[in-house]
Amino acid sequence: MAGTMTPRRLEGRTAIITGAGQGVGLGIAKRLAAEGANVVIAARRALTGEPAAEEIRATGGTAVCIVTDVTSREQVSACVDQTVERFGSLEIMVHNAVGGAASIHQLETVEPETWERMSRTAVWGSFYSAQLAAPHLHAAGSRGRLILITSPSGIEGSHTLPLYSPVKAAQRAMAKSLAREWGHYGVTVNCIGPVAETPALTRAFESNPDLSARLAARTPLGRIGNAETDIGAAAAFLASDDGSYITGQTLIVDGGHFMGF
Amino acid sequence: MRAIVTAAEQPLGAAAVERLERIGAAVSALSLATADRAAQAEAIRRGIDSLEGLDLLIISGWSAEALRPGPFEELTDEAFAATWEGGMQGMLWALQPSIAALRESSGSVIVLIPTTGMTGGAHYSAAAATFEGQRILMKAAARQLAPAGIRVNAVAVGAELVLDDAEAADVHYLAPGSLGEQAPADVGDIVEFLAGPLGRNLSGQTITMDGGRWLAP
Repeated sequence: MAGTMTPRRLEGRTAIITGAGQGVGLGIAKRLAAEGANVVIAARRALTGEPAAEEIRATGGTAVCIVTDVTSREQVSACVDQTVERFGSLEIMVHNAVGGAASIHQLETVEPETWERMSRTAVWGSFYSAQLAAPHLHAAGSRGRLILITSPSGIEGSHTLPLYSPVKAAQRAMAKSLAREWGHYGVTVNCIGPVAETPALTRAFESNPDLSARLAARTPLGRIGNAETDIGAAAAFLASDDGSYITGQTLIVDGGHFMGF
Repeated sequence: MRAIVTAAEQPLGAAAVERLERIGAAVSALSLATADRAAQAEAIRRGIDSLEGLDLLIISGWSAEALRPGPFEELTDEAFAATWEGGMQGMLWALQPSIAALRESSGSVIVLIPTTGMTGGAHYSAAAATFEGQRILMKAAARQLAPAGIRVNAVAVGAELVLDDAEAADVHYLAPGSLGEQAPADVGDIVEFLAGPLGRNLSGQTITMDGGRWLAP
């Protein structure tokens, strides 16, 4: 929850956050709303998306849920259209949705379905989110923001989830390319690589009780991030005027675990 | 040495084949890898059969679609699929059926790409995403295959050796190559080093062959 000192840097701006029904996406949505943004929860399922929007409205924020499958050009297009119809503009697009439960896989035996799941949500979802929001982000000029949620494993490669690595890497290269291409509009394009407490991580901790302590132990700050106050705060900074001279970057928000730059 | 080289008809692949043959390797020269998993597996299998094993897999090459510059706003699903899915699945489905033979020989894999994935490229967003995806899949493969004794590395060449319009990619901020111009054939030096005994301690690495311009970590 945002504190009493939370600034309101995003008044009058509208943000779409994909995969915002839970976890990191919800944390980002809550913080952007707390800073005054109109927030669209673009969730694949109303079952998580509607309560998320209700939770934000209950604390005085402005939020609606638009059920959206980010792997569908038509659905992302409809989400963007409905957003602009409802709020009059779209300044901030955050693509956070990730595909399915990632289970450990071997390159030697991995099936096309695993690739498909990773590629469709992370990369095609980035493509559609960015392209369909583009006219509105450009119109927003120096208030226009595209933020893609990536991962340190998109930089250093993952031993256990090898196919997760390239899709997260592709998002970074896409962000750099669009930062160059859209810079003359004043629009910034960045990535965030978070580690935070999410339902997915909680499930992993439940099945592997040592994991929580091990993860905290190898993190200099000694704790797992909070989706709203840690990751959401970083997104709000990038989305605000305070972040307007930062583009093409990846901000790793993980308590200092990754220091590879 | 027994080597398979994909996209041997393109300049970088051809340069690799030329060097490998010059140093006495037996080479199976394949065409551009494809997203058709079964067809790609068959091509690799035939290569391994003809070479009676495999010590080196070189993955290189891109479709004409990947190298066509254009504004992101006009990128079609078809062009994105040809570039991204073609490039990534081509690499994956060439690598996958090679692993058993490479384990047998403690062999290695080299991926040839331009620096555009690391720098980003205006009007080359799908291509940049694909090259960086391939480069980081290389790292993931290096991690996962190290216990099998398989090394996996990449050579990133200057964008002007690959892109039709490197200027359009907006990389002119890079300092001019103080070591002069490179040619595709120069990639042979690095391939020979990485594939041979001198490269035995290297895995997961990207060697940037651009005359000293892109110096990021």
